[in-house]
Amino acid sequence: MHVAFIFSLALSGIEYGLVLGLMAAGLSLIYGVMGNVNTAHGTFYMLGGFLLFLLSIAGLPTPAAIAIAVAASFALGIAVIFALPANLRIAVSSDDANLTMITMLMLAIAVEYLLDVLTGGVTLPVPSLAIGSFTLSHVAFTYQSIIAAVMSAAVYAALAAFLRYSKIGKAIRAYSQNQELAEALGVEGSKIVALAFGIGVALAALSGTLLTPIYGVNSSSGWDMLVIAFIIVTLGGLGSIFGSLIGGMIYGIGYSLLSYYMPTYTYIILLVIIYVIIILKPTGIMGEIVEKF
Amino acid sequence: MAIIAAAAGGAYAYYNSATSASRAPILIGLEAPLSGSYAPSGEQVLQGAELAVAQVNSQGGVLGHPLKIIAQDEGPTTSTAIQAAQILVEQDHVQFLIGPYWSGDVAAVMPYLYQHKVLEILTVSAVDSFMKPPYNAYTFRVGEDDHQNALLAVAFLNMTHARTFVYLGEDYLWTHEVYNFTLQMLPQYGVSATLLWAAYYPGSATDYSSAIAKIAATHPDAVLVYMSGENSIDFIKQYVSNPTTRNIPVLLVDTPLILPSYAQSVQAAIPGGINYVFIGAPTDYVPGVTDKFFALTQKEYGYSASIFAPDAYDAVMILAQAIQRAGTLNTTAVAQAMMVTNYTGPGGHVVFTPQHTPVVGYGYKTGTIYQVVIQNGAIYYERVWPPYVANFTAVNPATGQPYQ
Amino acid sequence: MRSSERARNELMIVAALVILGIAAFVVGGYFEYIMMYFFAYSIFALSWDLLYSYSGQLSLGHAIPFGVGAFMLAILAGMLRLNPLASFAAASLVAALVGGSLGTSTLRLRPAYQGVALLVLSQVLYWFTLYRFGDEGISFTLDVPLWGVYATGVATFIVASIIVIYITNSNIGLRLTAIKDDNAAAMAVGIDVVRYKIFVQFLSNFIAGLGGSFYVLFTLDANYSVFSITNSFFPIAISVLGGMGSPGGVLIGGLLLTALTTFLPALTSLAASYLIYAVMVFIFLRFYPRGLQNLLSKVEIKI
Repeated sequence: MHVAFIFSLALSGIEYGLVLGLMAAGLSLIYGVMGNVNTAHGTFYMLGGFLLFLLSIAGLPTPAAIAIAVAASFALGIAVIFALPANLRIAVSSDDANLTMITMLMLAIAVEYLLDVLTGGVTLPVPSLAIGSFTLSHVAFTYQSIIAAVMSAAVYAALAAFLRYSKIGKAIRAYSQNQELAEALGVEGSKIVALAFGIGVALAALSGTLLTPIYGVNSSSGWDMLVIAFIIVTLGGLGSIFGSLIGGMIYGIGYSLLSYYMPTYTYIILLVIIYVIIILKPTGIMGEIVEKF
Repeated sequence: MAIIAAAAGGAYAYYNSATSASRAPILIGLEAPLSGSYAPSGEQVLQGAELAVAQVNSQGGVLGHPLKIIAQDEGPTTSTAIQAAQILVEQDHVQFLIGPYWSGDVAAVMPYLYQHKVLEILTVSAVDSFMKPPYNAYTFRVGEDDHQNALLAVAFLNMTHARTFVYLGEDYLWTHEVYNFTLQMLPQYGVSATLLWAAYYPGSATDYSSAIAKIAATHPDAVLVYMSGENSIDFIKQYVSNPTTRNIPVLLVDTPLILPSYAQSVQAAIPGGINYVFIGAPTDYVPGVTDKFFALTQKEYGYSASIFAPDAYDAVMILAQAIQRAGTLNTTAVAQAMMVTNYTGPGGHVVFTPQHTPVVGYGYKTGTIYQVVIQNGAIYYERVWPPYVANFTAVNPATGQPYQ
Repeated sequence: MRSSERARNELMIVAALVILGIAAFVVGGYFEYIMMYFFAYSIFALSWDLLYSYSGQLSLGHAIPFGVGAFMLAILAGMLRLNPLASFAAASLVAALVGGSLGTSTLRLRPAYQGVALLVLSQVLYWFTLYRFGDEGISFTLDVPLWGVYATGVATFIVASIIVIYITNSNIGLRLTAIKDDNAAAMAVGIDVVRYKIFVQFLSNFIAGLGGSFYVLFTLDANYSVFSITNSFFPIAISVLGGMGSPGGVLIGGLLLTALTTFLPALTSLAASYLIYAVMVFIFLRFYPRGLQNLLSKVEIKI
């Protein structure tokens, strides 16, 4: 009986981790083309939830609202890239990459406070796709989280196929692996970076629309999610899309079990483990695909 | 919403700088969260205080002077709370202060306020361990107290005839204190319930599936939940979604669920789920007096249930009476005058212990237990305890029958 | 602009700020407090900028030394009631040791990972201090008159600023810039990259520790929120605004942002003042990446 309970806990963790892994995959994708960690990634997660909230207030049915929220985030991501000065858009040196990280950080701070002023810092209720739940060995699984997990798995598969088979996907992979060669072969750097960034943050926004109905969204959700995304890409390897999937599930299981047995220490333990991994093997458990600077 | 926020900001600035009538007003500082997730609660503190000020001023003020509230936003962190206190003391030169709201902030500013001999009245923070010499010389508590919060637990366990229970709390000082007080008070009141386990969760946590799974697995007779923010709403939604746990009577203490808007959001998310959930409210119900006060809040502010407004109202009234009694604004004299307070207001009957906290017990401050009942789609908060103000018999969620 | 000229200009900025500090003390009231916040935050920002602009090490968790300094002062002077001045010195040293060691452990990582690793560590301290000290943290009174605390602030500010200005304008500064621009080239020229980086780590953490200890010296409270992510980002925002790589600019940026976050809330609402802060920083990053320092230097040439 106890084993079944642990198993159910782990299962619920995997479900949670799948969606988070999707967000982390977006982070990895962006790292691949830009060579820096998108410090505004959590902000787009928050944006996804916030937009879904707004659109639902406007009366749109939830599935349509999710689609629009994700599309809007994609467009916003592209807009952000083109708003950056050229030397930050395509970083040539480590310094430029760092500056981009700092710029995105400031953007994230600005958005957090803007949201704070607009909403008064209240946690907003975001509509779910489905209501209700069932239990398995005393562990409750909401239909929303199951739908979220299934959708995430589907989007993962689509992403993998996109990167592998489509023209743009191949261009993104080529650019990530060897920027100069790809450009020599006619790949336009700015466009690829913008597209990859747009897709990456759209993935974060999608995670937001799927998880915020369960957990709510407020102006500081962005930072919490950024830390989680960091944890996952560290586990899975920054730059590895597949690694983010695995990392997400490991994180989900770990978090679920830890918060059951040691709720107070959960975060501390997870973070210390991540720190040790970063120090000892920064390329993560899965190894890194791309070496940038 | 941005316009409202800007207007609110402008309004506070104007409000704080506008001069009053002829005689120099007695300034009462007020520190509460006026922005962020807890702004609605903080505003209720301000509104309760304002109603009292209007009442006192309409009767000639105190010692011939009108009262005036100077509000500062406590902000989201202790740093902003300290800054707010510094602004009130260094810039506005207040000698009396209502708040801060959060226990952490209270602890942070207490030494500073003590050094400046500012008389502080707490209406929300319930932690007892602060109320010790020397810092409590100028600090009084009018609102809920952790002994009272523990009394709610004892009363609930008694009412539901629970033989076993579990205790969940957000991980702050007050919940640990209530836990200790509860265990101490159970034998004192002759209630023989056994604690199965207790757990604390970060205040910012939103996922309680592990906790609820554990409750379902260990199946206590009653569940005590001490979470004072949106976390309690997240918790109860997940709790009533679980078919096993929703039948176990649960007491949510200090939760904003007491406000209809939150109850409605839970009802919308899980139809029927909130039926027969118990709420431990930190304010008392005084027949006649509390009703009259809520009629006033309904008229002025549009709500007729509030956790925070009654105690803030009482704080100002008690302070006004003490100043009048002392005959001076000197805070040492006023503090002495506060000690002989014997006052009944919308928040309850207040008499101070030597530690400057309110006496807890029947006839004094007890808090109130409500049961949420849905009838014909409407949500009702029925009083089930204390017995002398109860208007409803508590119903067991598992059986749908009253506890005998 | 030659190094010594620049150093002179920067020292003049320091002098001007000290005069402002004295004026605030004379006026008294909340202005004194605003200046004390300025002293704490500005040297915090100087320390971050030193680390990044002068050795290429990116810390997204610089709240670590600030917070360690803060808590150590609260424990030594507040809880153990040791001599405040000695506690102040000791707390900063502990911050240097702890922060410097943790920072050094990330030395070999490239900046993105280094930043993340330090961010993660700052969060560990955040949750740990929340658990250990609760949300009320440690608060206490000191038997030191306000003018004593203020004088300590002014003195610390002067010393820290001079150290940073001296280093950045000296040969050491040149070498550090070389390290930041290109590790390999610097090593080829014979600079012991590792030794310099470690040196800057410990120095930066020490100065940040001074900031954190002083912060608690006048707020009389240390709690977990000192390790928040927003606190780690504040010195970055100040550096961006003022001009990264330029201590004089960083100080002016510090004055501006401190005024914004301490002064505006008294006039308008808290949320509005933070929004203005964030928008300003973003605008500067986008349009004036060299920060205020660049704008001001144009003014100076005219004079």
